[in-house]
Amino acid sequence: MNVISFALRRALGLVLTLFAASFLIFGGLYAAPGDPAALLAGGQRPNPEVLAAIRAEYRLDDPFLLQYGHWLAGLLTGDPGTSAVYRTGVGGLIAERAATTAFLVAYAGALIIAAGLGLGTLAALGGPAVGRTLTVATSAAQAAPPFVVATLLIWLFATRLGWLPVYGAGSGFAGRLEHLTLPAVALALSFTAYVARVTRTAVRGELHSDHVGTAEARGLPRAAVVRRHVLRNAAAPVMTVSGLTLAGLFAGTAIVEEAFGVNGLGSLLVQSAARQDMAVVMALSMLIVTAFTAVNTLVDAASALLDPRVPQVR
Amino acid sequence: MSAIHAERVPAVRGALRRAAARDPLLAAAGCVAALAVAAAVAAPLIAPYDPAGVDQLEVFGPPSAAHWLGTDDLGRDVLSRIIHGARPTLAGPALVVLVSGVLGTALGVAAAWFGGRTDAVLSRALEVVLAFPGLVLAVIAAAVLGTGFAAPVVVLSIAYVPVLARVVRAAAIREAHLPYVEALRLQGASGPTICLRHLLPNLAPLILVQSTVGFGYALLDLAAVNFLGLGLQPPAAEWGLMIADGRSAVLGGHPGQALFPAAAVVAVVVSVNVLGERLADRFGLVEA
Repeated sequence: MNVISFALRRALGLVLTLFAASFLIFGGLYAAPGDPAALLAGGQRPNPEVLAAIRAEYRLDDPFLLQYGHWLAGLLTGDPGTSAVYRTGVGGLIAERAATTAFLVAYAGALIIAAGLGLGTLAALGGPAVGRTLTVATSAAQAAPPFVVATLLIWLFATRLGWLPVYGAGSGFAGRLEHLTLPAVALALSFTAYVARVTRTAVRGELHSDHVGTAEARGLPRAAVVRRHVLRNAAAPVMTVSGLTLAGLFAGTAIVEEAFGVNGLGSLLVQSAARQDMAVVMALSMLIVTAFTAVNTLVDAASALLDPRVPQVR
Repeated sequence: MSAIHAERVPAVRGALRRAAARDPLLAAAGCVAALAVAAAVAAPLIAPYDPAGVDQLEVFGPPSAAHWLGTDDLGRDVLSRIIHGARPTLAGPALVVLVSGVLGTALGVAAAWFGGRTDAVLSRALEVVLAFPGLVLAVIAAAVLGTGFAAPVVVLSIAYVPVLARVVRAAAIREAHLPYVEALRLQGASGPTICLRHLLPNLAPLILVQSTVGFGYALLDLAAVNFLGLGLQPPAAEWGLMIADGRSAVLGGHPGQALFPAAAVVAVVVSVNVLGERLADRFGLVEA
């Protein structure tokens, strides 16, 4: 099977999955109890003419499939509807907050990759004391969920240390970097520990493999053996896992954004769900599902292409 | 009936203690898990105070002989709330694991056994569910069904099906190609008999380990939903919700209300993970 048809098939699978997911999201929220028109009218007891006008404006009397098609078309053309709470376009609400959340995800992702790979390699190549210490530390960190780490960091930094702000998103690059450090750490910690563990296992496995023994027997310097033979071969599983954790970050932003009062997409999703602002919930869940699935597919495809031993036909 | 021969008769007395000495981590994990389950089961008997008992004179009391873990912003006993909170905190993930375990096993075995068209359709459907991170699905459920205990438990039960189903499917395909299955078929055993009486018992260790791991993840996901305010509502005692409730107290310099339940979450999840790891070792399974 050649590369192009492989990539095409993966892309087609991705599109089909997203299509099915969009149908599920729309269907699920369509089936929600309560009258969306009354929600949109916002008042205590809107009169029937107002309700009828709203129903006409938002096409609420159309059959289900027509409404779905209308929503999907709007989504694809960049117009995912109107928020019932904010009374503005959902696209604008998302655009205002996208930069903050993207910054947070990138920040946490960079922390995970740098610290996870570094600590994992150190644990595998360092002495037994280093390895044991790091194993205990990563086991503890791996079980610490973002909401626990966030609470701990808020306590430490708000009442004890005061080095970094614990509320808001800041403005400008430096302000963002300062404000989003603690949220990024809270989001990244357990994922970092996971990547570090996988890295350690992968590097260890390579260290004990026959080809590394051969390289050492040939008299290659240790640094060259590690760089050329150990790390390169350990890269594939580590890359897969890093990609998957990166995909998981999108959902985790909701927790740290809520905890640290960051006005981003995650907190917008949570608050919209609490207020039953369906247009926002639909658009944001579709966005998160798309990002999550796209990253997963890319990682899957990349590891299949890089390692010919991974079966490509599933 | 064959007689049992042993070089040395193993002493029953002290067996538990020796096992604990061999693997102190496992012993500690077992103790924490047993303690948490005991607290959940016997909460009204153990808890020293009413978890909802407000005492205006005891607001933010420090840990003391009367209140081991202090009191919260309404003067409620934190220890009693953690003990009572163990009920929803542990019952939720237990239900998730049970429901997703049954569904995932059934779908995984069905996909492996029938293969072909059935397998393709099931795998595609599972892939769509897999596109939703569990937490996002729980948030959507809160928008559709409102807050409470049931909605997040139901959707997480669905969200956890694909992972288990994939693991079971892969193992069942390997198992179904083993000679004993062919032998049973030649003896005239029917498909359901082979699957239920022979295939499932052989898959049981795998399902048990996967469910143990899943329990930890489900606990974290459900606690996160409650932390976000989309699950149980105050004044309910649940660990994730208690952490969220304690956030303003943390800023006011009274961290106990949030940090003690946080410690409980971490302790239980760590011990569940250790138990899962040891179970996997015992059964000779490799973590994927």
